[in-house]
Amino acid sequence: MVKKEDADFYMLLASSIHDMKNSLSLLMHSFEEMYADVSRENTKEVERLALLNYEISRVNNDLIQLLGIYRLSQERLPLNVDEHFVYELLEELILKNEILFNLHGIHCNINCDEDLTGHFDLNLITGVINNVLVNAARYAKKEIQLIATKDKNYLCLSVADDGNGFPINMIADPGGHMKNINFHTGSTSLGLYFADKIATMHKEGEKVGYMLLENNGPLKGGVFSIYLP
Amino acid sequence: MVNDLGVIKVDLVATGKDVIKACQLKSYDILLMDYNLGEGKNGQQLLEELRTTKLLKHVSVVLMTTAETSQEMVLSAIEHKPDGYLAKPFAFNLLKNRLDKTLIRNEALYNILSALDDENYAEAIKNCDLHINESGRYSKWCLKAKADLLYKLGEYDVALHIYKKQLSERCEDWALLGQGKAFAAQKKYADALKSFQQLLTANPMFMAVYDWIAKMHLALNDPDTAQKTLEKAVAISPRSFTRLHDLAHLCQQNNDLAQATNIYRKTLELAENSIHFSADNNFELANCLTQYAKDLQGSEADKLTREALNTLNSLASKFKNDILVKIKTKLIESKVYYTMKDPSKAQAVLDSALMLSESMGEENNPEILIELASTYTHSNNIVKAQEILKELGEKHANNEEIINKIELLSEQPFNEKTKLIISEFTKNGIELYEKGDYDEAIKQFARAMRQFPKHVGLQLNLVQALLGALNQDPNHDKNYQQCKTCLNQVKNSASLQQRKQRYQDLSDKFDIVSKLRK
Repeated sequence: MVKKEDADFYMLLASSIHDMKNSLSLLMHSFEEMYADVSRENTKEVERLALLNYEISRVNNDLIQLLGIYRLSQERLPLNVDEHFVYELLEELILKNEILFNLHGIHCNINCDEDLTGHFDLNLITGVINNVLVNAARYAKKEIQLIATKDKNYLCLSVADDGNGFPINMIADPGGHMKNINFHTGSTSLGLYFADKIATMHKEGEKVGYMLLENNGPLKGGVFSIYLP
Repeated sequence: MVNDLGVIKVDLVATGKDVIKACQLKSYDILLMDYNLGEGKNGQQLLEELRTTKLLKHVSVVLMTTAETSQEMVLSAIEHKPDGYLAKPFAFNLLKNRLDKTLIRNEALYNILSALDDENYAEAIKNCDLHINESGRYSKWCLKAKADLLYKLGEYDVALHIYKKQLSERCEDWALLGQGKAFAAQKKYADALKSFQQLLTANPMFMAVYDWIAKMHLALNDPDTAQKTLEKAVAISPRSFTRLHDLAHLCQQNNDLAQATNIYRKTLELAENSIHFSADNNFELANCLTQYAKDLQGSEADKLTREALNTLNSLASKFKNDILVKIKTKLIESKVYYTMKDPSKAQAVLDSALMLSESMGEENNPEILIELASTYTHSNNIVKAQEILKELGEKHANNEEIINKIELLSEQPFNEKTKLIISEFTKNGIELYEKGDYDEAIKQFARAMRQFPKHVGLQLNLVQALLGALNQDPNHDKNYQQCKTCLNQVKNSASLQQRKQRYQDLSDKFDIVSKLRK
C-alpha cells in the first residue's frame, strides 16, 4: 500500500512537472518565433538562440528523468510497450535537435530500414535516446549517425559519433551513476543510469533489454547502444 | 503556430465543451488537442464522445498533445484512439512532420476509416484483410482494428482466434486485454480473469484492469476478492471518483460498513467542486453511517449518527431551492433519529417530510417513494414499506431503473424478467443442494441475493443451503452468522405469514445446529 504522504508527494511532483512542461511548451514556441525572425547572417544572435534551445531540451530531459527515476523508486513507473516504426522515431529525434545540430555544424543521418518496427515504450525510449543525442552533439566533431537493426529478436538502437569516445570508467560501468557524479563538470551520468533502468524494464519472455557503451564505432568515436527484446 | 502549416482555416477553443460545440457547427479535417483538459473529461474521453456522436469522422486526423502517456491511452479501442500523441514540449517542425506522416497513413487506410464512418463494420474488416494480405505498412494496426471490430460485432470466437495467434507469437498487451474482454463476453469468467491477471502482472499501473478483475471476481461469486482488488487500485490511484464510488457500493453490499463509510467520505470530499458534485453523495454517506451505527452501541454509534446529521445539514445551504433534496434529507434524517433511539423525533421529521412532499405535489415521485420505503424498512415498519414498493413496482413495471432500485428493498419481484432471473438462480441452487454441494448452492443463492437482498424466498433457500453446510460443520462462523441474519430478516419480513411453516421448520433446525456448536 502506498503511504498517503508518498501519494501526496507524487501528485505534487507529477502536477508540478506537468505544469513546467506546459511552460516549456510556451517557451519553446516563443523561441521558435524568435529564431524565425533572426537573420541567419547574424551569427552571434543565432548562437545565443541555439544555446537557449539547448538549455530548453536539457531542462526537458531532466524533468523526464526526474519524474521517471522518482517513479522507479516508488515502483510505479508504467511501461507502455507498443509496436512502433523505428525510422519515424529516429526522424523525430533529429527534428527535435535540428537547431542544436546546426549550431555545432553537425550532420546527423539515419541508417535504418523504413519498415523496421520494434516493441518499446515510445515516450521513455525517445527520452533516453534524446538525452544521448543532446550529449553526443556536444562531443561529436562533425557527424552523428543513428543506427537501428534487428538481430536475434533484439532491436538495437545506436547513436554513434566521431568524437573522442567515452571515458574508460564509464564504459566499464555505464549504469553505475552515483560513482560518476561530478559537480565540477556538471555531469551526473543520470541519463545513463536512467537509460540502463529503462532498458532492463523492457522484457519479452526470458529476454531482458540492456545498454552498451563502446568506443571506436563506425564513425571512429563513441557508440551508445540500447538493445530491446 | 498552425497558421504556418499551410492550413487555411483554424478555430481555437479553450474547453472540452467548446470542442463539441465547434464540431457540431463544422466538420474538421484536423483536430489538435491536449489530453489534459482540466476539470471534467480528458482528451481521450472527449474523443470517444466525438466519435460515438459522429461529430468527428474517422478519416479526420486527431493528434493529442500530452505531458506523458498512460496505459489507458495505449490500450484504448482503436476507434477511440487519436492518430498520434505528441509529447510536450514539441517543436513546430515535429508537429509538421507528424501531421504529414499521419495524413499519408490515413490516406493508405482511407477505405477502412470511411467504412468506420459509415458504420459498415463488415466492409471495414474486409478492407483490413485486404491491407494485411498485401503485407501493407499498417498491417498491425489493421489486425488490431479487425479484432476490435469483431469484438464489437459480438464475433468473439473469431476475435479470440486473432488474440490467441498474437499471444502465441509475442505476448502483447492489446491481445491479452482483448482476450480477457472476449472471454468475459462469452461468460468464461475464469479464463478472462487469467488473461487480466497476466496483463496486470506485466502492467501493475494499468488501472482499468483492476476494474475488469473486480468485475470477474463478482461474476465468479467472490465479492470479497472483488473488494480487495478495487482497494488495491484505489491505493495506487486515489482520485478516481467512479472507482471509489463503485468500491463504496461494493463494501456496503459486502457488509463491510466501516470501510464503506470511509470510502463514501472520500467520494464526498472528491466530488466537492467537481462534475460529480451532487446531493446523492451526502445521502449515500448519511445512509451508510446510519446503517453502520445501527450495528454499534454507545459513543461509537453516537459519533456516527452525529456525522450523518452533519452530512445532511450541510446540504441545506447548497441546495436551498431544491424541494426533492429537502424531502429526501428529512426522510434520511428520520432514519438517523430512529437509530438514535428517538422515535418521536424520527416520527416528527418523517411527518414533516410527508407534509412537504404532499404540499409540493411530489407525493407520487418514485424517487421520494423509494426513499420513503427505505425509511420505513429502517424503522422496521416493513408492511408499510412493502406496500409502497408493491404499488410503485406495479406502476413502473417497465422502467428498469426504478425496478432495479425497488428490487434492493422489495421482498418480491415485479416483472417477468426479474422473476425469470430468480427462478433460474433458484433452479441451479436447488440442483446443487440436492447433489449435496452446499458450498456452491450457497454461492448461487448469495449471488442472487446481491441483486435481490430482501427477497424472502431466496433468503429461505439460502438458509436451507447454509444449514446443509452447517450440519457438516456447525462451527463455521461465517455460515452461522449469515444464517442467523437471514432468519432474522425473514422473521421481520412482511410476507412471513405466507411462509410461516417453512420459516418455523428452518428456524428449529437452526436451533439444533446452534446447540452443536462449540
